Amino acid sequence: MDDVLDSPLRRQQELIATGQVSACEIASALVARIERRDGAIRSVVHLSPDAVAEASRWDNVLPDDRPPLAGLCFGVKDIIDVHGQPTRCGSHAHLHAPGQAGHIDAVSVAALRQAGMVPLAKLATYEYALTGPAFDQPNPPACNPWDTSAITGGSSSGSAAAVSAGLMRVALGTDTGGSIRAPAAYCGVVGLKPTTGLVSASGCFPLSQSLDVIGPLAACAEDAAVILEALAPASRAAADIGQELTGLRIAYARDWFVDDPAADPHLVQAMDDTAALLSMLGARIELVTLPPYQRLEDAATVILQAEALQNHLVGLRNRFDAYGKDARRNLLTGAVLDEQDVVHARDIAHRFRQEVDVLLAQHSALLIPTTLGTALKFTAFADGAVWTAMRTMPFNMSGHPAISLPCGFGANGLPLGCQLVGGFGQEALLCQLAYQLEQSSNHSARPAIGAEPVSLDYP
Amino acid sequence: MTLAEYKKRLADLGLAVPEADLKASVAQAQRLAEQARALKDDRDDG
Repeated sequence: MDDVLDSPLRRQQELIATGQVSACEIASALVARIERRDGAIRSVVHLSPDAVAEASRWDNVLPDDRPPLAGLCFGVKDIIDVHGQPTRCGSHAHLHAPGQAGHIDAVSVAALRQAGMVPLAKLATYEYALTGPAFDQPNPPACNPWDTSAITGGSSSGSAAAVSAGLMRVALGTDTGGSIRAPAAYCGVVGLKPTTGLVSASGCFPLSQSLDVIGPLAACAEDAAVILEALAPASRAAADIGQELTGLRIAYARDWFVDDPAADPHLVQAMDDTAALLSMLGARIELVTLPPYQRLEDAATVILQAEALQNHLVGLRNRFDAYGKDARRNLLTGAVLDEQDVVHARDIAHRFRQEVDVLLAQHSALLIPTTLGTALKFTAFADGAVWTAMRTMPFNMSGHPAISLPCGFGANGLPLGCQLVGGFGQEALLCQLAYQLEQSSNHSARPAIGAEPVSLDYP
Repeated sequence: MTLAEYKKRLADLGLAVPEADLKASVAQAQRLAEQARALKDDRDDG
């Protein structure tokens, strides 16, 4: 059964359709795998007691009457509502109705159910998708399956860890400044941030409405495409997977990271290798210069912090002590901003969007790193939050779709991720490109997961 | 932005914040204020 669980969703779909395995058997095996492996990584915060029964129901439906992904399982970041399962947002401040199950699916979850999929588990998140890792949340932070003394990155921490550990092929996450792509990179999986607005965020607790995007973390590019197509059928994200790509021009923004002191030399090498691989696949690689990075990250931070404080103002007034220390202190900082600060930041966002549009009118995609190194150890956070270097936030501001995929390993053996950014609505092309890179490289290995709960040095 | 100014901003928003949280977050708040100011200066410079 391990071979089945580690097969792409389309293969699992074929096996079910031809009667070689049942949806019930796959769901049961995934639950057993979670019970066997999750003690080491703590990605699951709520396992659905109904998942196996829900998957089994599809086995009793005639194959021709089944929707495309009937009986296949997915995970959900625990800031997104699932009917019958509690939403805790990784915070004691959200526990004012303990044990209360959600009454309605988020729109994204409903779309996957419509495609026949079964929500298997709610997955760990940094508190309110904001900051982490932290040890004063209802659950301890998820661990990186490649090294359980290392963080997963966040905030879609459980989604990345669960997919990386093979507990499910796909999980929904949210991305406000890199929260799908960065943990995907750190955990060696694929993370797809769709075009802003393509997937409804209704039913997801907001962090920053201007920047929030819901999308999949997946074991491979094809699975990410399949899920995005179920979330947004008009994207046709999986339609061209496996077809040859020709005549591509890829913009490579090497000077956006190469001189950054935070850039791991292995990352620089992995990025150059990825550019070379794309060239071997027939793409023309052109070095391009983007606007200075730090100013863009600053602008995105201003928007994020201003909106996040507004979203939590009532919560902070009424339940201040229930928030974790790092989360509440982070939220408070938004008080120093005024309306004009946000106007200036939005102006920068607008200009950057136009600059990327011009670039992508001449190129098929933009190649950049996701993060500038591998996941840090938990011990690095002993004194509080640490800002890790990445290249993700500007594209939350611009709204362009971006996919992160594994591109190599650091000296410590942990995964590195690169990122392809596309024009609005170009998710199918990004998935196709990511698929071709996967097929031509060997960076998508899976970690070996121990069965024993990990004991952390920190705190 | 001084600690007192920061405290007043929070109070204006209806937030009575314990001293420990104020002191622990003021440096980050000052950084954010500087980031915002730099964006404005940048724009004013054309």
